Amino acid sequence: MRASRIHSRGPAHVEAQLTPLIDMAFLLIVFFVLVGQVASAEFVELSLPRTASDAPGRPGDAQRLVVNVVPARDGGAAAYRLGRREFGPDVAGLAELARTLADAIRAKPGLEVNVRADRATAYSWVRPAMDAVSDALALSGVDRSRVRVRLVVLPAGGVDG
Amino acid sequence: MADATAGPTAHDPGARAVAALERMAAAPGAGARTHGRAAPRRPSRRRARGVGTALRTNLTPMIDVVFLLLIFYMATTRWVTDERVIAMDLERRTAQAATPDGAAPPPVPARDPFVLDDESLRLEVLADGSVRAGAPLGRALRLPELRELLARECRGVGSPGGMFEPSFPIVVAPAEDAPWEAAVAVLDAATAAGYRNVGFERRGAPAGAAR
Repeated sequence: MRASRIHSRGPAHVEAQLTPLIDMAFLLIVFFVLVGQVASAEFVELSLPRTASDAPGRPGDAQRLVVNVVPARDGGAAAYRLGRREFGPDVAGLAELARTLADAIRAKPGLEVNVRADRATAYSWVRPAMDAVSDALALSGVDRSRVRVRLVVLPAGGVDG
Repeated sequence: MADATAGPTAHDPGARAVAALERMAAAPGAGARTHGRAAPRRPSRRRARGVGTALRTNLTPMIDVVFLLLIFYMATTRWVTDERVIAMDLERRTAQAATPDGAAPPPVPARDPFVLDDESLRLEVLADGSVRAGAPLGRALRLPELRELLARECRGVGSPGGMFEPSFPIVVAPAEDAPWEAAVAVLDAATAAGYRNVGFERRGAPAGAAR
């Protein structure tokens, strides 16, 4: 190998310092893993109903619970999901959902409860979820005005998930 | 090693032992120099393997894997879409729980259309997305018609002759098999028109569970 001009005894060693690069890559990986876990707990894959107006507001920064109506094929609901817990679409499951919601509301009054359902799900399967929220409020004994309930939609022109 | 420092008595094991003891007793640190000659130093382990060999970890495979993971997570992360929320008034929903399950909508009495009591406007959403408006409108509507009508009849700055105050209660009553999107569209039409007192009709037993 031809000797370098600066170091006549041998070729110059050029090395890239890779440590910061690896640090950043690991930080990004940790970030994506954590974000993915939080997102998968709150967002079930479904097509939200699309509204024609821009009247719906943006979700606030308040701490929230998300009740997902997991869609089934025939316009029904396969389950109701709160965080990572799933509740069967029957009387017992809905009662359990209401109890779990009531415990959460009692622990943290001022919560926001979001209800997400697929646009093709029949209303008869979404209403029990809203009724469960209502029952949970009654069970918790918390002042109703302190808990806000929101229906999640996509605005006109919104990008589907 | 000791042969080089022991001199003429090197072949006598006893003499070698005595000489070694003497060296240790006299000066442990300078034992190698008792005969004025520097003894060859014991080679270090590092030197034995080769002078100047630096230990290096080959990081290339790790960086490859890290970048693969990074690309995987970036590609599979579902970014939060532009979700919006419609606020619900649970208090009113509960207040309407007194409506018996399956009861027919209240009959439309003949009345002076200019006199409205505090009755609510009931909008029944059918499975095909059309809407049957209760008293005082009392007719079937398509969604665009309903949107236009609700906006026109909301009494406000733009339409002072509107039939309803913005606080007039509007109850959305979707049919059991109405898709959720149709129900939300009617709710959205009412809230977008400016009505503040809009909610779903609450019924008794969970219909989904009854299926």
